[in-house]
Amino acid sequence: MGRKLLAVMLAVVLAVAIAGPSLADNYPSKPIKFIINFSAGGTTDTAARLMSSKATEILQQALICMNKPGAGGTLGVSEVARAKGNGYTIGTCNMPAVAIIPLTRKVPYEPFKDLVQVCAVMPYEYALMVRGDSPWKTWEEFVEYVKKNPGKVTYGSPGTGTTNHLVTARIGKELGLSWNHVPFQGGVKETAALLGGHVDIINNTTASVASSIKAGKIRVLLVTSEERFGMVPDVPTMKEKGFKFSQISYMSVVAPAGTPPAALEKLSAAFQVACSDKGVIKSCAQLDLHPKFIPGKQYQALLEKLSAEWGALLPELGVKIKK
Amino acid sequence: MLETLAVAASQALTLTNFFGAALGIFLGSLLGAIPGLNGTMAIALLIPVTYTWSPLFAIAMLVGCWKGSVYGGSISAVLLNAPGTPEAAATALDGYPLTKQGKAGKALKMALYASVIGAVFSDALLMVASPPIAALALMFGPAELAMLILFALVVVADTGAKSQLKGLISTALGMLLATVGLDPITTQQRFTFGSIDLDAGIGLLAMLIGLLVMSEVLVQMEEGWKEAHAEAMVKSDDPNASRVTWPELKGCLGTIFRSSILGSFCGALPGVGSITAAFMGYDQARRLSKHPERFGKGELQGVAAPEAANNAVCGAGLIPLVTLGIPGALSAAVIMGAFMIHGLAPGPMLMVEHPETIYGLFMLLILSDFFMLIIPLPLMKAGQWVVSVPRAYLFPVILALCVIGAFGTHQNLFDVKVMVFFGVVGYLMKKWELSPAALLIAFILGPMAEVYLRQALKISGGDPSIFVTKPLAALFLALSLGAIVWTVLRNRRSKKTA
Repeated sequence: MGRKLLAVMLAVVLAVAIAGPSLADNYPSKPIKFIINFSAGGTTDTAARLMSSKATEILQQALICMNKPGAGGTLGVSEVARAKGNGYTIGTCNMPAVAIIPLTRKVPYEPFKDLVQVCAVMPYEYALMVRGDSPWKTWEEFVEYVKKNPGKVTYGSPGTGTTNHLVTARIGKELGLSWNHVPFQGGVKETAALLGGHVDIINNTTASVASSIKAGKIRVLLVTSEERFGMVPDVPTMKEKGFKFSQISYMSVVAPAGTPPAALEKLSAAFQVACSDKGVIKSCAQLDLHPKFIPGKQYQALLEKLSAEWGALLPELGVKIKK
Repeated sequence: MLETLAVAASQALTLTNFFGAALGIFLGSLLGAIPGLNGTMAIALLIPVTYTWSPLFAIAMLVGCWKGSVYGGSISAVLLNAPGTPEAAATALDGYPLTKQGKAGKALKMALYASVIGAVFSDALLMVASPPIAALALMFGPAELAMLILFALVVVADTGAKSQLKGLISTALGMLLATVGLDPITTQQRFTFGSIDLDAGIGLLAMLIGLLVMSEVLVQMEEGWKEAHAEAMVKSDDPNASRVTWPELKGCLGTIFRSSILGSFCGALPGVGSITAAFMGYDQARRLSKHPERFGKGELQGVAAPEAANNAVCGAGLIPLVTLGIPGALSAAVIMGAFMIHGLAPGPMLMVEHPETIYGLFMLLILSDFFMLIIPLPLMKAGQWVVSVPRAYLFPVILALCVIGAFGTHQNLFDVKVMVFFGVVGYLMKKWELSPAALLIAFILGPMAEVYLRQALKISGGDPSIFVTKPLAALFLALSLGAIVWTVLRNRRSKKTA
């Protein structure tokens, strides 16, 4: 074992010495820094760590996970954007950090120039939900109530400018609802406010409240993601209800611009395997997370489309645009 | 039920799990005791490692680490006036004066006993009263929380200052600094001067290390190694200087009990936290004491109260986590990750789906409280030895640790700059007899007050009557007003007698 390890280490040292890090054949020849742009213990963190351990096996190099949370995910993403594009710094990324937040305030990176999307690995699954003991059994009943009681109903989101806020605001706008937005600081406080009856409806990820949904404490009225959920198979999606849009955000893997294409390919391949690995899928399923792989270029195009679409709508939804 | 308990016991009560809990407590109290390093850091470092272990071992270790660090912080707070963790900032107020009187051992032991009692109380609540407490916690929405935080601000505003005016100046400064960063409601940049590093606001830990630890090193350096050292090492003639006598403990039991309730309450409310608990605990002890003038000069109750309160946060912080899937405190949020990675989705179904694991965890929690009585003892001794090391060697090491601690939280050099800046600010504040402790608590409470106030007004559509029509909000508003009136009357009376 000792000799084997020594041999591997020597090989690595030699490889680096002879070839230098520029030769992608040897990539990765040293551990890779993996910056998670949300705090430890959350959905993104858990999914990222589950996948990174599989990716580590495939790449034969450790992915060293570091949490850099804050400012809607932009702090972690900017750390990746600032790093050298050599394949040894990558990170997780959420849709708003590249497609929405840069439109509303100054961020130290050009989302589509300084960053490359390696691949998307998992969709976040969203829904509009109310308390289990609330009078509304269906989405229609709820809408009817809001229309009869203008200005009385409040909806919660994990923060201004999140997809949760924007999609819900857009739904309200299309239906002509008069209701008040209450931004909370993250999904946890949003959920607590719903359970305590301080807001009437929230838009949240289903994974984070799976236990409360199963226990009947929270009722899902409308799935805002593209497809129905296995957890609540009878609840319709917003597309089925006639809306022309839905709430799309993936957890993706990003690298700094200039990362060698060969390195990007290797990384993407590793995450593709991790996404379809039985062990990863099973661990994720326990938390109601469902990995899904999308190639980097395809996801980048989707992000650009979303950015243009939301950018045009932001002022109408009451979100200030960067000057 | 009995069967579940038996299964739980067989899963939980193993030597491996004992070892996990003990190791957690040791690591936590060690990192907590070292100025500059802290328990949240320890937990964050341990989390990835625990992913491969059994859930009970991992969670017992993490919770042990959390509890250990909350106590550990008091060691450096008492011995050096440099709180190892933010929770211990209130403990330094009376702990360090006791050290100066040669009663370091007494203060440390009182802190330990109070911590353990607070922890046992809160773990017991977690086990027997989780559902009603969680239901109570949920009743606190933005309006109620806004008034609760207002009350907290009113009562702790002058903590640790020479005069009320200086206390209020320190508080205002803290609230002002807390406005830096993204606006919590609109997410627009506020006082960031274009710096992305400031988008997330001034880093709490980096600021704390500067304000509380580095500033103290500067102060003591200036006082001169020799005098400061000689002063700190006064031998007390009290034969009980390094132990707590039964009458002393008995005298503090009332305070400890009240602090345990306060701490548990703060723990169960999502987003109030152990620092607030410690300061409110300290304040209730001072207010209800027959000799409030003794506080800040080495009053044993002033050590017992914050320590019981901040340790009571841990167990209670798990109440909303296991019943609702909502972590009550920062460290509980990190521990939630450990639940999730092991497939235990926190929430109302946790008890239904995994009762053995949860009961097993409860057993380990109570046991770890008793480990707390023994494990930190060598650290206490080591700490007392360390402070006898000449300051010329000790201080450079502490300064280096400050830099490591500030950098280590987010691996960000900017945090080190923040730490140094606040080291100087803290030094100046101490020179001008302002209160870094009051600045700190205002820095923590200020943003909460702002967010909850604005959220409440969003809910009511801008109508401020929400603060009086909601009964709990009205109660805390009345309490705040009462506290102000009470303070004014007390000042008048003390002026008359003076």
